[in-house]
Amino acid sequence: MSGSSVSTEVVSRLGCLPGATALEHRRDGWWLQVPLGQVIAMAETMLQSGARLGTMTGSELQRGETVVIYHYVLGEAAINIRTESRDRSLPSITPITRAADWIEREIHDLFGVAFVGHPNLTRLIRPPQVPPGLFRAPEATQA
Amino acid sequence: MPYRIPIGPFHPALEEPYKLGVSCEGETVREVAIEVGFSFRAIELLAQKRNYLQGLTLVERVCGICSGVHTLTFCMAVEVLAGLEVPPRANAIRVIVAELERLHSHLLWAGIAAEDLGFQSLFMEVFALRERIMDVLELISGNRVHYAMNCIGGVNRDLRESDSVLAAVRQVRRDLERDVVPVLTTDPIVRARTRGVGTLERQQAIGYGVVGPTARASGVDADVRRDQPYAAYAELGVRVATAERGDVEARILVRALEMLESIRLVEEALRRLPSGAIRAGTGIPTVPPGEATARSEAPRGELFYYLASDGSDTPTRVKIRTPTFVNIPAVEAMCLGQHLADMPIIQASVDPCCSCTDR
Repeated sequence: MSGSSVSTEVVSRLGCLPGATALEHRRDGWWLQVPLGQVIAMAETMLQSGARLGTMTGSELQRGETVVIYHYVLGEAAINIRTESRDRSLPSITPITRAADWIEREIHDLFGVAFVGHPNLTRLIRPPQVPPGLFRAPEATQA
Repeated sequence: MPYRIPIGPFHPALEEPYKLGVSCEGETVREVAIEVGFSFRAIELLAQKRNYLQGLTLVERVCGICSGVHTLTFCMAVEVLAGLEVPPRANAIRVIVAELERLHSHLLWAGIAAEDLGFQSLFMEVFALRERIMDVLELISGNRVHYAMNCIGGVNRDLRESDSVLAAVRQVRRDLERDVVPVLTTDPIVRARTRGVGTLERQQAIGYGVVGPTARASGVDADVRRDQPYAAYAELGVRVATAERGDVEARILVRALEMLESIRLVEEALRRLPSGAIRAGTGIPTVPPGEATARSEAPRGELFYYLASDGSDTPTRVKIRTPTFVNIPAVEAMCLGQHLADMPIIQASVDPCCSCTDR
């Protein structure tokens, strides 16, 4: 999973996004972090490169915020891009990448993240009668 | 006047619940709304409350068909984190079990497709063949469905039944080549029901990000076994089957070819089966803090696991992205403009697994 020259080029373009952290190459692919404001630019870069959005992982942070990792595949290379929500929201990449539609709906459902710009941010897994955020610890138990 | 028909959650095509709200004009489908979540068990959340050994038992139960590939991918993610190297013999056994699983999954699908086409005799034929594979899996692992073969760093049981496995897969190949594949690919009734039905264009397939046989039948040449090889696939070499038309017939063709390729892989892995240990180390490995991802090719396509550890015996995050989760949204594109009567076979052609999707 070392990555072809195409993916190396894409990864270096990602690394040039303002505020992006240094790239890290691990056994399971490339990892980097981009700031919230660069998520759209990141998604456009990945779309232009022909990368496939495999999925996104949400993980709970304190104070209602969420880490979201975008897991892309480009040829033989895996590229994982991390960002963090602010005020419990993130820009939606569904208008750019259709494959993000259900993934963002699920993260909204289970972690309570509002994806701004999503065309249909309805519940995916659980019924609308229960509040979103099942995968978060109850507020009272948080520090 | 358009009218609406709810199909599901209990289904004409499948034994699993998901719902399709169809709007029709006459017999033509104009709008499709898909609802999932009826089998939600919060397995990701539960896996974050159990240690790695218990987690293995849990993730095996995400799916009742592709159970083995879930433990395989979970183990691969832990092995990346813990820096474990799996012994060659264990990797070969993992491939053999994974390919037998693909074979019985594709046979199950072929049977359901045959039934949805109204082809009862083919259904019986295919399910009889599937039983042979289930018997082999039981012989190897002691279980028909949840094999409990994979452990962190290798496999739990050695494979000593090479001759029985070989005899069974060769018989299945003979029957597949003689009866099932010719009927599925050349029978005029099957063709009439499947050609040009439920088409997913290549660009649509890329847009939805579909995976596995659904993507390959739309001309997307991708297979994790070849592109990011794991276990022993790099040495064995996987011949990826693709088709161009993207209709139900193409999805049938791709899976038919994949069944024959799975048998070749099982034979090849058995022929080369290395000697040696079947797991790295003994006992429970220490998993250092960190995060890792793992991908594998499940029968329905790419399966993805993300794992985060804080160094304790319990993962802090387990993310499971199953292939059907990305394949089901594309059913909308396949159904639009199609006949209402083709809804069951179009949905079955994706080989959807709702317990995987919902987790």
